[in-house]
Order: sequence, then structure tokens, then C-alpha cells
Amino acid sequence: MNSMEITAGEYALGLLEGAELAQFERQLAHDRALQVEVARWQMQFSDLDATAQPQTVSAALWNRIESSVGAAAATSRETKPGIAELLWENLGFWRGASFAGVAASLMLAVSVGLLAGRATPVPLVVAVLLSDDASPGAIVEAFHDGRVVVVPLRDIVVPDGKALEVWTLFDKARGPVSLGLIDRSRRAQFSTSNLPARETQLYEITLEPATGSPIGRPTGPILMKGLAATPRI
Amino acid sequence: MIGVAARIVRRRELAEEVVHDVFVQIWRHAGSFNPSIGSGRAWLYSIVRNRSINLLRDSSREQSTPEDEIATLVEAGGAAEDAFQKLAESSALRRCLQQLDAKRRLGLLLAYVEGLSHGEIAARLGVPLGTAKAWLRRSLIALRDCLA
Repeated sequence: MNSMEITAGEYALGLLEGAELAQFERQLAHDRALQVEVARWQMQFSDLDATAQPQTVSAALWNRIESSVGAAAATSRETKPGIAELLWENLGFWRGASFAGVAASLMLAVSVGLLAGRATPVPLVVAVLLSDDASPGAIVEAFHDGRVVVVPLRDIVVPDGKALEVWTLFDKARGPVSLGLIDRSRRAQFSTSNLPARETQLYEITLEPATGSPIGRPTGPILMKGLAATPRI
Repeated sequence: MIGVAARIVRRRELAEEVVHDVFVQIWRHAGSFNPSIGSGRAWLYSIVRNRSINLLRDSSREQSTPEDEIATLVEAGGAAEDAFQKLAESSALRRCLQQLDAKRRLGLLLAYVEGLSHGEIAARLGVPLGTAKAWLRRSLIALRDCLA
């Protein structure tokens, strides 16, 4: 074991300070071997995280997080129109969810990027759609060539005469655009053209008549939804 | 997450502060996590711990705890020992920590669980700073060998 491995362990323990810490972090930013080493130590110590007393998140804390994330979104409004609105919509949706659930979903979203990265091509964006109990319901992957793949993560009961309709919202003024219908809970692929697939774009699945929504926008209940993220490969 | 932060910052409201900051940070920069080199969960908790330690070290320079807030202190001391005791029997980390000398094990736990610095650990263990540093480095080596 070399000296940097031990220093990585000290870093993972939180022992580095001041100039030593700054120097380590500078190197860590571009040294992949060191990143691997730190991740390994973090993994090895992580059993200790699970021993902490679970504590519930107060409503007051949720409110503060909501307004802060809203402010964060507002500052990026100039460069990425629509993000603030999409974040707000989703905050309302996620509000009742458990904190761990939301965090786990974020984690899942980035992990899926990794799995997708092993195959070619790599999706432009990946979204994990959550049910209103914050459990992951489906994964959406959108590819460069306009393909959108939807993989349900659990069984969804579709009543007779109904279908699941997949939507995406990339322009608030235009409203949700239908990607297509799924008759039951299984992998589906849609071909789209000229539809954007961007970071934070909203995807959702609603329950609609078997032939799809008659008015071109969602009419039935939203079964699950989520924001797209770019997989980091 | 609040529980992990609370063991370090010792006050519920500070722990909430940490979780608030971490959540906003993750929302903005979820991409800084590289899934090809580590677990999301470990990464997430490492952010919570880093943020907690920063807050602790910043605040200890600026202010001492006012008397009337002492009552809100999350029970201090023993959190490190307690975490070790709560490790699952099947945990390899538990088995390997068990093999360390009790004082050296405590030093490691004080760093990870309570976020203590080298200096604070030395004081808590009643040994010179240099000794504490050397113990911690040797404990890491022993741990790595055992976990390998």
C-alpha cells in the first residue's frame, strides 16, 4: 500500500485539513486512480453510515429545501428556459416523498447511466419515473437517433379499454407531447423525430383511453413522472 | 442523512442545515458523481460528512455553544463506540475493526463517525499528536489488508 492510498483513507475519514486538504483535492480532481481509491475507502467505511439513528425530515426543512432549489433553478433560467418551472412542478410532486426515496432515485438515475453506457449507443438522457409514493416505476432512455425506450420497473394494472401513454414536456408553451402508447407493463420503444431530449426535461406516464388521449394532451391520472438527466459515462 | 450529520455537528438544527445544503448541492450537481467508480450511497454520505465537518470546523473557530443551547445538544460522546456496536455481525468492517487495538479503533471511529480532527483525537485518546497520526495511518493499513 503506497502513501497516496493511505492519504486517500485519511481523506475519506475526514482527517485532512488546510493546505494538505486543498492539495489533495486539487490532485483528486483529475487523478482517476485517486478517485477510485477514495471511492473504495468510502465504500469500506459506509457500513458505519447505516448505524446512524434514522431521523425524519421536518416540514420546515422541506419548505426551506424547496425554496432554495427554486432559487437555484431561477438563477439558471436565463440560459435554460423552462428549468425553473419543471423543477417547481416536480418539487410539488416529490414533496410528500421520503427524503431517502428522492436521494435514492437520484442515485438510481445516475447508476442507470452507467449500465446504459456499457451498451452502445449511449442515451442522450435518462429519466427515472417515480410513482406518487416515490418508488421508481419506469426508466426512460432517449437516444440521439430519436429512439425513446421505456422500461417499466414494476407491473402496472391497465384496465380494459385503457392504455398507458408516455409524454414528455420540453416546452411549457407547447405542453406535453405524446411519445406513444403502451398496452401493458413491458419494455417499449418509440421513434420520435425532432423532439428534444435534454437534461431536466419532464417525462410522465398517464392512464388514457386505449386509443390514446383524444385531445392530444394528458387527460387521465399521472401514474409516474421524472426529470431527465444526462448519463455521466 | 440527518442522523449521520447529527453525530458530527451534534445539534439537530445544524444537521438540518447540512442536509439542506447537501440536497441543494446534489440537485445542482448530480453529475459530479461518477457511477463507474463508486456506490451512490457511499458518495452521498461522503458529501453529508464533508459538509458536516466543514460546518463543525468553521463554527468552532467562530463561536462557542451558548449555554441555553446545551440542552439541544445531541448526546455527545459515545457516538463512535455506539456506531461500532451497531455494525451488523456480518459486516467485514466490524470484523476488521475488531482486530485493532481498542484505542486505535476508537481513533478511527472518532474521525469517521464524529468528524474529529487529528488534534481532537489525540486529546481524546490522551496521546501526542504525532502518535495519533501514526496510529491512524497504521490502522488504515491494517484495515485495508484485512478488508482486501
